[in-house]
Amino acid sequence: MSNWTPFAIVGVALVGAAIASLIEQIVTERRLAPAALVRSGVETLRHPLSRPDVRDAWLFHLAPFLLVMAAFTAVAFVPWTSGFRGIDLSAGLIGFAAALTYVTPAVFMAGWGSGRAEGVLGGFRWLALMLAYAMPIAMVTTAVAAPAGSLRPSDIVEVQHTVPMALVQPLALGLWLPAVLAVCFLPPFDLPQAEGELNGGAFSEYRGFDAALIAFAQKVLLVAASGMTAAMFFGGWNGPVLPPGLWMALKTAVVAAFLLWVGGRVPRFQTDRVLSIAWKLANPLALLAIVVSGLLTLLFYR
Amino acid sequence: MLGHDPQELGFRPDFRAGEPSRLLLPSRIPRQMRPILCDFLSPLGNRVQMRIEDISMPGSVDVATLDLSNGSARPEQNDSNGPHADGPSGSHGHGQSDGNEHGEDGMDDMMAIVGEPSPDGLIMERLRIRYGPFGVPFPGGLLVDASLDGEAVREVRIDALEGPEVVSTERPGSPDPLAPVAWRMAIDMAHDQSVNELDCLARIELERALSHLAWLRSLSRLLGWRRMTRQAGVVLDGLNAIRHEMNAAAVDHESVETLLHGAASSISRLVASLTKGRLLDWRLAGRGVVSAGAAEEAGLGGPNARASGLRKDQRSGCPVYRRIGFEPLLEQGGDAAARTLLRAREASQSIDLARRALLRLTGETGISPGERVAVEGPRGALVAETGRTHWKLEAPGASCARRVAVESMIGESWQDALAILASFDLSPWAEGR
Repeated sequence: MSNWTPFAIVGVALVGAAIASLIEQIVTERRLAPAALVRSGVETLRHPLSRPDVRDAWLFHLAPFLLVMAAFTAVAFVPWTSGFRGIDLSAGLIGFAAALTYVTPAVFMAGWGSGRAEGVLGGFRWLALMLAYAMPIAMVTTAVAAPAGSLRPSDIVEVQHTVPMALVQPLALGLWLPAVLAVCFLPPFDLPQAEGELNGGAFSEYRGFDAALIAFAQKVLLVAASGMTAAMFFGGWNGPVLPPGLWMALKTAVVAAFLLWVGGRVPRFQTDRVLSIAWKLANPLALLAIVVSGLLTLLFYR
Repeated sequence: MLGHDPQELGFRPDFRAGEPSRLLLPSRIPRQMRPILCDFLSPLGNRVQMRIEDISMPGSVDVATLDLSNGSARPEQNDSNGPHADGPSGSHGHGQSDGNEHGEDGMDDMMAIVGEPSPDGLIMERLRIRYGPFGVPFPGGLLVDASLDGEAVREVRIDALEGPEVVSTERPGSPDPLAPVAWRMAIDMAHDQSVNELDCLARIELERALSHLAWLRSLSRLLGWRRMTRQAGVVLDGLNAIRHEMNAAAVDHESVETLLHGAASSISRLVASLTKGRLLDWRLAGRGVVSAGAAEEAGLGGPNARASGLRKDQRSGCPVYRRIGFEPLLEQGGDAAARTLLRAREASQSIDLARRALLRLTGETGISPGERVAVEGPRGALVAETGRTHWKLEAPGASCARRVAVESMIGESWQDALAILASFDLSPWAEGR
């Protein structure tokens, strides 16, 4: 990790968020209008910061920064190419999951700090959602790490140089994708903000720079989640002809587009149903995925 | 010129960066709406420029500046009775003062129901949520005030804009901006005005299709179902084009027929994707169930009754509908999913009926029955009655729908309660009429 790495991480996050916004525009609005995105961003930033009569101003104004920090940290753990890894820890996957856990207090702080009923409700919904997605993420991480014999993301990419993990462990992929959609509070798991139901929910009181930070953090989270999905299941930077970095970027973009596309095709989940599915179905299946992964490791990766 | 989407007309915030804050709203603002407006607008400052649009008269737009500093949304003297320089020409002077006068006479109807404490027995923090009158999933003017036990609805109160009925000595205009054509036809027919029945039928059916699909789009937004929202929006654009075509001075029936043909296949695809994958059932089945017996007892009418299996449809007894082979559509579930599917299927049927009517259309006009006319509007029966000295307009069953909706919400999670409420397609303008 050089002195320039933090700047590179910020650069990846900025460029990634811009591309994710364009992908979202294409997928959800069926059009590509970068100028409209810029206009909307400028309008949001021009809007004065809201100073509502919030219950806890500190929590309220700290939450967007915490969310951005969590998203940046998650991006830093993604192995973007063989030569560029932000934080290359031997337990990088755990670090990635740990970074995502900071999304939980950030969203709850936003909702609770606002003191509005919709915000508090959004915050509580988010806690419930976290109980649903956290276990599948942790267990799938274990299942994917086993064949590589390492929790280092770059080792997991290397072990997929012949067969991507998506083909070897489709069950783990099937559990991972909804879980990361939930982490990014994207439809159909946009329970904390739930446009139409809670009028923005946990984020309903944010305006101006705060609102821009929240929207930016969500896009960076999407980039991080898609990047890690590409690394864990689709062979990361492995691929013929094209440069490794381009392969990784393409795979990340495709995963992000897929997540956004799938999310728009189903109605928003109900909180109780998410928990029910998570505890009655996803968690047992995640345990099964670990068992399958163990067998595969013994049979093919040793 | 402002757009006219019959389902979305009503209160429409339009806050643009760098411009005075504006609020598009119908010109009639009942007295009881003023505190709500004050609450909503107070963050914008004490002086708010309001663009006021009279829905019943397209093109009539006034702009008034409301002074909220004293806690009451009263128009400033200079602006209240005439068009503002900002407003397009042709304003009819339906400013805020008109609304105030109406408001003095009007009363907002309200309904409050309290349920049992949380069924799980846990003592939760009581939350109070006020929803509307500008909430996107509902037409403007409906205010939901709920008390939640955790996320379970404990108590609900719904306020609507209007009083129980309209009685007037002069011939009234359409009282509900969400069903202007059906009301106008009912009033025309009650007035012994000669009408072309097939043309009326085609226009009412087009309005029904528009209303049902606009409602479906709103419901999809509420459910966070982006695909359905987009799909319904595309179909709505097509239907709006047909409406403009039909409202043209010289109607080109061939072109309308072609457009209707295209719309029919779009709606069929929409209905297919609504039922595909059982997503609708998964989300709404079993929510807000109203059995046939309960619907009968409560006096439900329109699509809400038909979704419970009741053959309540004014069109069944109408000779012109019988002539083109109309049969009412029914669903049996009585839940939110059944209400949704029924409206989607009815939208498809309406386009088919409109096409059949236009194919048989001649220039003949007939004398309508007069005195008391019942027309099946998008939300149920609309009755216009005229005597020697008075006019009376009623929407029987509308207030029943609100009562049943409120009862169905109690004990449900806020998420489901809103979906249930939306599934009844309440109109704040028709409630209690």
